[in-house]
Amino acid sequence: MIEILSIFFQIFIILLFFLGPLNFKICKKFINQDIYIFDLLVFNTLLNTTILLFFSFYQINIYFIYSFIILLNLLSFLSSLRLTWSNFIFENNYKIFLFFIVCFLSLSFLMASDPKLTWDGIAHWYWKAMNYNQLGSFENLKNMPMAYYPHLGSYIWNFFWSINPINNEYYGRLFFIFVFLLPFFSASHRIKNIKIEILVLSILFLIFFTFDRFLIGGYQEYFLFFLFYSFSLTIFLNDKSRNKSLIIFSFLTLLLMMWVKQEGLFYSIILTLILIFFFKISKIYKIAFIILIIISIISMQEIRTTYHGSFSLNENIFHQNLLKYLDIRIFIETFYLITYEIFKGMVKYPIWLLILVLIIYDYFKGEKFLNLNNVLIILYVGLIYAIYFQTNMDIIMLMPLTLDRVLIHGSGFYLIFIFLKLNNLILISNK
Amino acid sequence: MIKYSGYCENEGYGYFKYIKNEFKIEDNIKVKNFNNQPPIDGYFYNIKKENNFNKIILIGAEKINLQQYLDQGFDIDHSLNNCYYITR
Repeated sequence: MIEILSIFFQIFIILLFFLGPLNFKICKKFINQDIYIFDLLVFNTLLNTTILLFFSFYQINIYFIYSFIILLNLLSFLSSLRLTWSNFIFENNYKIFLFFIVCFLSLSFLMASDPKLTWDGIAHWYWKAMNYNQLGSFENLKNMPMAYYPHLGSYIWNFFWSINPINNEYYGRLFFIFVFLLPFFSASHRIKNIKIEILVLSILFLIFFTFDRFLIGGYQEYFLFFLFYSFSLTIFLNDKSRNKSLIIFSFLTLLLMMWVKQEGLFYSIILTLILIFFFKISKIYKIAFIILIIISIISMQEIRTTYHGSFSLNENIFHQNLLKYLDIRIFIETFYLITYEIFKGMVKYPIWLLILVLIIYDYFKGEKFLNLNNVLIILYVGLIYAIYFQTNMDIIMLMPLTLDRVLIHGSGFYLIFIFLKLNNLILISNK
Repeated sequence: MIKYSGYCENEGYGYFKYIKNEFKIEDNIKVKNFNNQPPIDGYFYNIKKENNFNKIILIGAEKINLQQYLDQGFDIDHSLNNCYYITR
């Protein structure tokens, strides 16, 4: 019973932290259009995780950080109480919010039923969370295994682990369930005039197509999934309103990616290209964005070199073994193996099959080939090929263990696209 | 945790805990898992304590695996099925 109550309390702790400090009033001024409650949660999660990233370099008491944010949130909440309430009771918003809580609780109970950490969870990421849990510093991470892996996910894991007086490890991992669920609910706002039952069913189907219990065992994949979604949300809202303030959130998204996983560094590069081509903003802002991203990458490199002695990836990007691809047979064989594993991954996470079907459908409906979705898929899949062509490790052993997880990240980008297509389908069938 | 991570099987959580209590081990020791499971020494790690590389717990070790350590000067302090606590 205490365990169940603690889970309720932990969910409350997490929601309270991410409900502010941005409120509907601020967002309306800032983003220049009406946004929904889950969009607000997405922006606040981006903002507050950036604040946590900043604090992760210093040994500051987490209760102080939590109280500081909660105070801001409460002040902000009280100043827009009426607007928040009217948004909450608008149409089906409160029902969807209740459904979100039900999903959050269900997955939390699922985690509580078997809180065991899975492979990379215990072998890599737990060590960093444990370091912070034992009041270790950012510098001390150099003494942990895989010190060259980024630390942000583990820091947040510990933040919500330690903030609860019961100090149960898996309470911290509820954050990963939160960021996994948030994109589905935020994207679902794109559907208009639909029966609540159909909306709930579509959300459930998509969760079912994407969820993997193994990944809530300490992996960081759903954090990147959330960040891909956040980036797509800023592009989508910018497309509608041409608001340049949204570029700040695009920047925060890419900044956070770099500190979550090593792949995040490469994702931030391809998403910068996406922003250059598809974000409706003047050239000067785009140049400023590129400069900021370059500064962020250099800063990350400098911080990690200063505190941990070096900045390195899993392996060197260029090595002599790459010359083997001059033999066309080896190149074709490797290409075939990677393609096979990509399709296996897409079957494992069927959200990708849905994305592909919708993209092909769009193409035959006359949509131009080089649109946002297709360009990202080309860059993203191209990056996956590059990663596995480049590695010095045995890809026959490596790919079945890792490639499907890499696919999960990018699927977050397509959630709005999926819901928009569903909306079109409903409109057509209503006519 | 023993229910999910095993005693002397899977990750060998139970055996690790037993050895740590039985031999009153204060410092950080390594675990080597041969069951194709991740090492669980992180669960018991204390960042303020020293790492002791002369005490190792082997989980799921075959005779050939054990022999490699014995050849390096380790002695068996405790064993249960194919789990070993070795020191030098």
